Amino acid sequence: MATATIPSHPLLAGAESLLDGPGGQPGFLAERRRQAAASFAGLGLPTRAWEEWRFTGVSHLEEAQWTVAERAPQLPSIDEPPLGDANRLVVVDGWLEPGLSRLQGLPDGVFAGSLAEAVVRRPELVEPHLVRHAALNDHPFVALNAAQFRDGVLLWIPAGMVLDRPIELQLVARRHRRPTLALPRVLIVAGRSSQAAVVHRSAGGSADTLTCSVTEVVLEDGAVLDHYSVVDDDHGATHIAALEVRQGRDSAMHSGVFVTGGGLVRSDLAVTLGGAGAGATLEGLYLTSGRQHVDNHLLVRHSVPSCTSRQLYKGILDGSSRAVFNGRIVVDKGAQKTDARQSNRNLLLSPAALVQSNPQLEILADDVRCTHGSTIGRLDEDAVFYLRSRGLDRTSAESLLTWAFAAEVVEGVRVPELRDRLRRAVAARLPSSQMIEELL
Amino acid sequence: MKKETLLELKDLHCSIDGKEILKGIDLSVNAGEVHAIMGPNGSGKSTLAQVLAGREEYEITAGDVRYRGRDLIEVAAEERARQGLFLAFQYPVEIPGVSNAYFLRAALNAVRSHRGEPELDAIDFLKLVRERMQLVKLDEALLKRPVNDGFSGGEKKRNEIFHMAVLEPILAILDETDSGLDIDALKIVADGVNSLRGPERAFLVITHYQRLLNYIVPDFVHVLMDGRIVRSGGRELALHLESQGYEWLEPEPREAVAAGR
Ligand SMILES: Nc1ncnc2c1ncn2[C@@H]1O[C@H](COP(=O)(O)OP(=O)(O)OP(=O)(O)O)[C@@H](O)[C@H]1O
Ligand SMILES: [Mg+2]
Repeated sequence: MATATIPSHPLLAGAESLLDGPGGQPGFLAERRRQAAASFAGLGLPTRAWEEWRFTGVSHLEEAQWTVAERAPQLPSIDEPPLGDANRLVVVDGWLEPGLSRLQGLPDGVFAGSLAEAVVRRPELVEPHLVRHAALNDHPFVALNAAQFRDGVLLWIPAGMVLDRPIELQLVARRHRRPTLALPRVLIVAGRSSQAAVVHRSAGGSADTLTCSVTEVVLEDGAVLDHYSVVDDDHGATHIAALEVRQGRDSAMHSGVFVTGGGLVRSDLAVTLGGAGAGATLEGLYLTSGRQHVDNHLLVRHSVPSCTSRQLYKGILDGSSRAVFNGRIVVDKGAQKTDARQSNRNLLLSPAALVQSNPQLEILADDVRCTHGSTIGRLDEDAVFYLRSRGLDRTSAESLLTWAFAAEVVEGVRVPELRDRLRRAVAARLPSSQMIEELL
Repeated sequence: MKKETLLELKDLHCSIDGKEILKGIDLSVNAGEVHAIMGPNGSGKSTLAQVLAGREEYEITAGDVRYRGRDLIEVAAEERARQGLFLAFQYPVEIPGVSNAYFLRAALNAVRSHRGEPELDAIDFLKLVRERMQLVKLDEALLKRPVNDGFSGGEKKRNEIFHMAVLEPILAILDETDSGLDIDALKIVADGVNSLRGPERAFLVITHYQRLLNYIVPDFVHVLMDGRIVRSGGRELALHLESQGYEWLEPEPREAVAAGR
């Protein structure tokens, strides 16, 4: 098997050293990489004929000659200040940069650092999970990342540990002169009854950047994890992100996905509720303008009884931007007493903006409660008039109502510094931003 | 000294989607007066109120609307509010995500800056707001809550009067502010309105019930039927309507209506 020919695909060029023999990595990883590469070569890039990619075309990726980003010879400067007193890990083009990171006062026993290093030095932490949970067989970009990611982050939190400061993962894409592929990979393992908050933020990039990130998250029994992703890449950049979550008994995941930047953003979030009493709250907000295209695909699988899931995704679309929301709830046979809810609400600020919202329910158990709802609409003229009749001008009234629409998600963010930043990011998008900032 | 005419309607016609709803309204309201407008469901009372507040969906097809001597038809809703016009909505709109206090402060500052007054800082605003909340016995917790969101029917109506008390309009239109209020709340609302009555200010009170007019005593009562004012009189007209209903009112010749007061 180890000597089998390396699957060929232009996007796999340069991966030979990772796929052919251990190359300094443990055997388990080389083996999984080869499977991933085979899977990717078999699948190829998705086309619109694929059900899951019907509304999001990536054919433009075929036209370029992509090369995987090398480690930056010089460290770029990071514009965004760290989030309060968060411990920060900075990943540049997929490579963890200790020189830009700041880790202070992390309790003993936590591993927060380079994934490539962890693979070699702490394989026992990594082996049970890495390239185990994220689906290789149907998502080519997940397979692509697995086949040839170079580095990323391992965050491993031992049982019972409560982290009182958030961990910030800042992903930065540099500008490149030729098409560059960044493959950051993150593995988060939250041990039994541990508690932590992680803020995952990506920024930078350009039209010549393809970021293909994969994050695997494991919540062991009783773990509580708040996980926020903020996608704020430059408007030309393509960012395809997959987040795969496995939850044990009585664990609680609170996820927020905020897309404010990026040219083409595809975010897949898949959660498997695999232990009774587990709960997942999945919230999202996408603010799009110009020609941005943002696709959120959610899959929540209830595989055991008595779990709850909540999905609330909201979109505010301006210009001729496009959004796709695909929310799938699967309730496996035997997953009785499931309580699953989904809501997708979209506000169109421009007549040229367009939303595709597709709920999908697959329910194989009979004693369950599942609800879903989706709306696409404009600002309520009655509300605009009500505000104007008290003296607010139309622009202020519309800004205020737009803010209020977003606030339901933003105000639910449980990391105060992030909530603050998101409030300001939303306000900055509104015509009466100053008025809204005074409100905050 | 002659009292200022605040509102003057001449032969006002209004349509929505090509359907005529107001079919020639004449009305004149002077400073210091309280006018009640009564009439059956669907007769056009709320339409009149919304048109006066500047709702653009209604098309004014004929007639004249003057506020303090100036043509109002082309004036935007927010501009009317800043010039002292206020509408208490029959159905106050719920606005999740915007706190009542914030909205009111933004509104007050818009009105104040139009009057050439400086914006109120947070402390002065809170002082004013606390005082005016007392007027309608509104729980202070409702300040922090989103506008009308989850308010009870009575709280919504009292909140409208509270907004009015803070904004201190010159001409206030109350669209069925009494509907859905129990007797205690009705008295509270009426007291709030009465405390704002004064020689500079006028009220247009839309109601179905004579009961309210026991507390807010009107100078004039008008009956609106099928888009026209068919009868005008003093407060005794309201009592008569209470016992007789509207059937006895045959539409009068227009001249008689115009001369009705
Ligand atoms: N936006 C609209 N579109 C279509 N028809 C309307 C609209 N607004 C009002 N109407 C119609 O105009 C007529 C008058 O309505 P309006 O709400 O003014 O009555 P009202 O006198 O306030 O009644 P109520 O006592 O029930 O509050 C009704 O027939 C109503 O259906
Ligand atoms: Mg009405």
